[in-house]
Amino acid sequence: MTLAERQRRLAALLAGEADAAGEDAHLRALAGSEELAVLRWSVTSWRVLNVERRCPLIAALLRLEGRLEPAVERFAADQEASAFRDELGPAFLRFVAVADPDPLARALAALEAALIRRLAGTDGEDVEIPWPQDPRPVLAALVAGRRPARGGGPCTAIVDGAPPSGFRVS
Amino acid sequence: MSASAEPGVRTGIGTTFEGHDARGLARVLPLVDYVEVTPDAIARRDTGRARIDRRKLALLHAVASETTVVVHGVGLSIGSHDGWSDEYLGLLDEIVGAVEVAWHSEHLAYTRVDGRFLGTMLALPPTEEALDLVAERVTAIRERYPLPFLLENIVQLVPEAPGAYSDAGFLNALCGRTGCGVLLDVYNLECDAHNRGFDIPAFLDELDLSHVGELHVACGVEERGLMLDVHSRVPRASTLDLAAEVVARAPNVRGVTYELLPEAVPTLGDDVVAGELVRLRERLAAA
Repeated sequence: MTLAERQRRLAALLAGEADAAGEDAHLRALAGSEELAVLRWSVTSWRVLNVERRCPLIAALLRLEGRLEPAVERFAADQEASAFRDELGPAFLRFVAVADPDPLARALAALEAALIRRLAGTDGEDVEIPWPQDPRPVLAALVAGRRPARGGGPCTAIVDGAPPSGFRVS
Repeated sequence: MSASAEPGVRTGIGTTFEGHDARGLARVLPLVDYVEVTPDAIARRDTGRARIDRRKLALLHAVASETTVVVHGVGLSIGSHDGWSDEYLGLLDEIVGAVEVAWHSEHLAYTRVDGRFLGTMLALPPTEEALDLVAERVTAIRERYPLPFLLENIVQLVPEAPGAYSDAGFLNALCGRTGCGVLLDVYNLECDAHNRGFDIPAFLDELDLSHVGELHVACGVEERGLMLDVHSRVPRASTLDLAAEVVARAPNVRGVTYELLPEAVPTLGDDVVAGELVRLRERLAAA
């Protein structure tokens, strides 16, 4: 087996494609091994750690709902996760803001991404984000480590950088 | 770092640059002979191109006026069948252009396949094809950067099938062919011994220890009984003992680096990191 084929098969095994081992005895043994399972776990754990550090609001919501690891795995499967630590968080937020089935999670991801850009000084324009409910009690619950209550009418969060929170609600 | 013995090589102590704030660096710098910077860890993408973060580069520049700087990359992917990362070399260019670098290193591994990032490092099979590929790239790197270049052994959580070479034989052949050196991560050796019964004494007996230019010491976590290379804890006594043994036997070791994840530095705290650097120096002095 050439180096190229070997690396492609190992990459596919790492991505969960068990049949990538083909007839190769060594790869077949690896495919069902605890070692490969732990390696997959470590890759996901590393990404989860980065997401928790760099976008704590969306990480808190997904963690409280038991959806953080699956969301990170879907993100990594859907698009290439960057090799740079600082890029993983913003990329994950962009993914959740578009692809998550929950409108509250989508709005929260969009808000957190806009706040990060504003704080970093990379976005000076006001950003309007439609919300399914008032974001302020949602953020208060997350900061307190509680699962936010659902309900209330739609509104708009306007990220304008104004203290204390960096956004206002209209 | 050449394979030829350099009489009187002094073994210094170093640690990771990233993760420390200015106060932490002030605490750590008096205790080390060099800091080891990872370009990938202080880079960000700016208008589509990866660049070293300006603020971190300025901090590194200030640090370089006080101590020696060495570079340790994670993103070169020297073993990928479809080419290495030009983006990583661009980051290395930036650092080498900004501060004086004593030597640089990478992992003997690949992190990308067909351009896609794996999220981890995988070991190369010990075959002639892999040796030819890496040797050609090492030669190109040594021409591009007139600095000693070292390659590090990684933890082989998913070991490769036996090939034409043993682990030590592959390193000996690579160093002999290209003039590169070895960054020996002794914690990684311990992980391999724990996880797959790797024979450390036999490896050290076979490895041409004159090629070893730097050591890494670290400590990580266990998952399902397997030891992982995470760099989040203080090194175990056994790791320092192994480092001391190698330093005593290898004539060209210029540094032993206490390797830490940036994320682990605030968790451990500056005092713990400083204490470990003192312990490391004392342990090596006693060897």
